[in-house]
Amino acid sequence: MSTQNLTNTPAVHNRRGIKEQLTGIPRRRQLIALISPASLWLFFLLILPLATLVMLSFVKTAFGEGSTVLTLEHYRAFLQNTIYQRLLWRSLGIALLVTVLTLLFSYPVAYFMAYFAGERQNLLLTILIIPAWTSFLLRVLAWRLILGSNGLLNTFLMGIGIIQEPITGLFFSTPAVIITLVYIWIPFAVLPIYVSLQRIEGNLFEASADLGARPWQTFWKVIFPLSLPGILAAFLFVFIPTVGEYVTPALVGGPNGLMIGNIIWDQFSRGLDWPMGATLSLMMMLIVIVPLFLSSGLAERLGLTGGGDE
Amino acid sequence: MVKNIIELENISKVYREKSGEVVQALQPANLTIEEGEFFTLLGPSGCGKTTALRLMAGFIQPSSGEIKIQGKSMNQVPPYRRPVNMVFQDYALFPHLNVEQNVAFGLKVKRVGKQEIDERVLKALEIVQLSGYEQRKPRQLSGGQKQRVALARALVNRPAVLLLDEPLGALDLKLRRAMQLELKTLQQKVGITFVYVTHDQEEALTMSDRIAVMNQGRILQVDSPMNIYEKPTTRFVADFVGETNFLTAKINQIVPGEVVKVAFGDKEVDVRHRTNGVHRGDTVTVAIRPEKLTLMPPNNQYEALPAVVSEVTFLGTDTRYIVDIPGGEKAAVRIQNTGFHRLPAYQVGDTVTLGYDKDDAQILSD
Repeated sequence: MSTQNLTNTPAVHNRRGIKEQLTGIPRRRQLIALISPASLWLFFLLILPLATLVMLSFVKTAFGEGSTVLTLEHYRAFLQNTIYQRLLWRSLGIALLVTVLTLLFSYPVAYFMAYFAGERQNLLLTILIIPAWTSFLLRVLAWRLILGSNGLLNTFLMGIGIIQEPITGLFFSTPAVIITLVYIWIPFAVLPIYVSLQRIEGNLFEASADLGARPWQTFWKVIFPLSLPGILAAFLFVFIPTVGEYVTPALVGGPNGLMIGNIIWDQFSRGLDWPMGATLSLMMMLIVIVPLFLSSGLAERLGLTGGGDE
Repeated sequence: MVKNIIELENISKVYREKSGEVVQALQPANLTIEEGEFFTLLGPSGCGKTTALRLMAGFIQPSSGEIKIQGKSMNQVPPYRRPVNMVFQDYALFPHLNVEQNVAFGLKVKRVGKQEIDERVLKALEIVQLSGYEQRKPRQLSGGQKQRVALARALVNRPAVLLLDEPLGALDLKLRRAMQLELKTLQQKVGITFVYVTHDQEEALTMSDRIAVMNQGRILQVDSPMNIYEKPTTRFVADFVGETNFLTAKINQIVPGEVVKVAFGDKEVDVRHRTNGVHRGDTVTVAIRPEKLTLMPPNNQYEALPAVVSEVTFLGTDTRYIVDIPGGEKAAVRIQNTGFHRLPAYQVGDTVTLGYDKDDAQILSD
C-alpha cells in the first residue's frame, strides 16, 4: 500500500503538468474559455433583459426627457394603488387554483397511463400531446364554442330541458379562465408525473405488499412520495406561467376575469407606461420566485434531488 | 415432531405470451418444506425456481393446485396477508426512506405501537450488524449493507417463512462467501424457515438443509446437499451440481439390492444397485465424479477398468488426468497431491488401472 502511494502521487502530479505542456494554455485561461459560451448565453438571454427591466423600472418615462430621470415613483404607485396589489393577489390565487385543479385532474391520468395502459401507453401519450400541437389561441377559443351563450353546454342543457334560457355567466368570467387554463395545462402536468411514476421500480410495490401494506397504504407510503418530484415539476410548469398569463383572461375572462398579466400588457401597449409595466413585472417575478426556492428546498429535504436511486 | 410449514400440492404456473404461445413456467409439482429448515430451490435461470418463490409470496397466482402455509390454503390470500416476507434480488429498498424507516415499514403498516416498533427495529439492525446506520438513505449504502437492510426489514416482522430470491447475486465473490456463512448462522439463530432461491450450486450446498434441484419447470430431486451431490438421480442434477463423468455402458446382469454388472466395451465392472426401472440389456449412463476415481499401476490384484492416460493437468492442490477407457470414451480423474501421490505419478501414454468404489458410481435413469 505505502509503496503504491509513494509512486502514485508524483504520477498524478506529472499528468496534470504534461497536459498543460501539451496544450500550452494556462489552466486559468482554459477554464475561462470553457465557461464563456455558457456565460454569453446567460448574459444575452437572461442578465441583459433582466437588467433592462430593472433599469426601466427606475426611470420616469421610457422615452424623451424623462428617460434620464431616476425615480421611485412607480414602486410608490404600486404600493399605494390597491388595484395593482389586488390584481396581483388575485392572479396568484387563480394560478394556485388552476395548478391544484390541474394536478388533481392530471394525476389519475398519469397513474392510469403508467400502470394500467399496458401496450397502449405510447398511443395514449400521443393522443394526450396532439392538442398541444394545435395553436394555443385555437384551443382557448374552442372553449367559447362550449361555454358561450349559444355554445354546446347551453344548447345541451336547454335541449334536455334543464334550463329555459342560456346561462350567460359561463363565459367572460373567472371560472371560464380557470376552466380553460386547466384544460390547456393538463398535458404539461401529466408528462412529468407520468415519468416519475414510471421510474418507480416495480419490485417496490411487491416489497410494500409483502411487508403487509394494503394497496392504499402502498399508494400513500410508496407511490405518492416517490412521485413527488414529478408533482413538484408539474406544479412549477403550471404555476409560474399561469401567474403571468394574459392571453386567456383577455380572450375568455371578460372584464371580471382580468389578471396582472393583462395590466402589464396594457402598460406596455395602450398605456405606453413602460416603467410602470416593468415595475409590475418585477413585483410579479419576485413573488413567483418564492415558491421556486421553497420547492427546491423541499425537494432537497425529501432527498428527491440528485443521486437518483443509486 | 417435524411440521410442514409450506405445502405445494399439484401447483403449476402457465403463462400465455402475446404471440399466443403457452409457456409452462412450473410443471405440476408437489413440495413440502419443513418448519425451521433452510430449504433451497436450485437451478439455472428460467427453471421455475423464482416462479415457485413468487407463488409462495403471492405475487402471482397458480394456474392449478393449492399452496398451504402453516396448514392454511393461501390461494385466495393476497401477499399483504400472508405470514411470509421476502428479500428481493435487488433489495427493493424504498429510496425515499432511511434505513430505520425502511425496516419499520412492515410494522408501521400493521399499526404496531411506536415503542414496540422502535425496540424491534433496533434489535433487527443489531442482528444484521447495522446499528448506527439508522439515518442513512439506501443510496448511501454499499451492496452488502443494502442486503442487510433488506434482511432486517423482512426479519423484523417475524415471518413464519423468509423467502430469499438470489439475495447474494449482486455481491462480489468474497462478500458473498462471508454473507453465506452469516445467513446460515442467522437462520439457525432466529429459527425461521428460509426458502432460498439460487443458481449457484456451491451456495446451495454450503447453506441448505435440503435442496430442490429444478430444470425447465420441473422439480428433479429433493434431498440433502450430500445426497444431491453423492447420489444424483438424473443426469441433469449430476451435471449441474459439481463435475461428473457420464459414461455409456450396457447392463449385463442385475442382482437386486446388491450390484448391477455393467460393461464398458468388453470389460465388465460392478456398480451398486440403487436405480429402479433399468433392465438387463439396457444401454445406460453411469455417472461418477472425477475425485471418486483413482489411478493404480496396471496388472494389480484388483478387478477394475484398464485405461490409458491421455492428458495430465497440474492444478495445484490436485492433478487432473484424462484417461481413455474401454468402449472408446474418456473419463476425468482428479487426484489430490498428497504425500502418497507424488508427481509425476503417471504420464501421457501410461497404461493404468482405473479404480473406484462401487457405491460411488450411479446409474442414471435418464
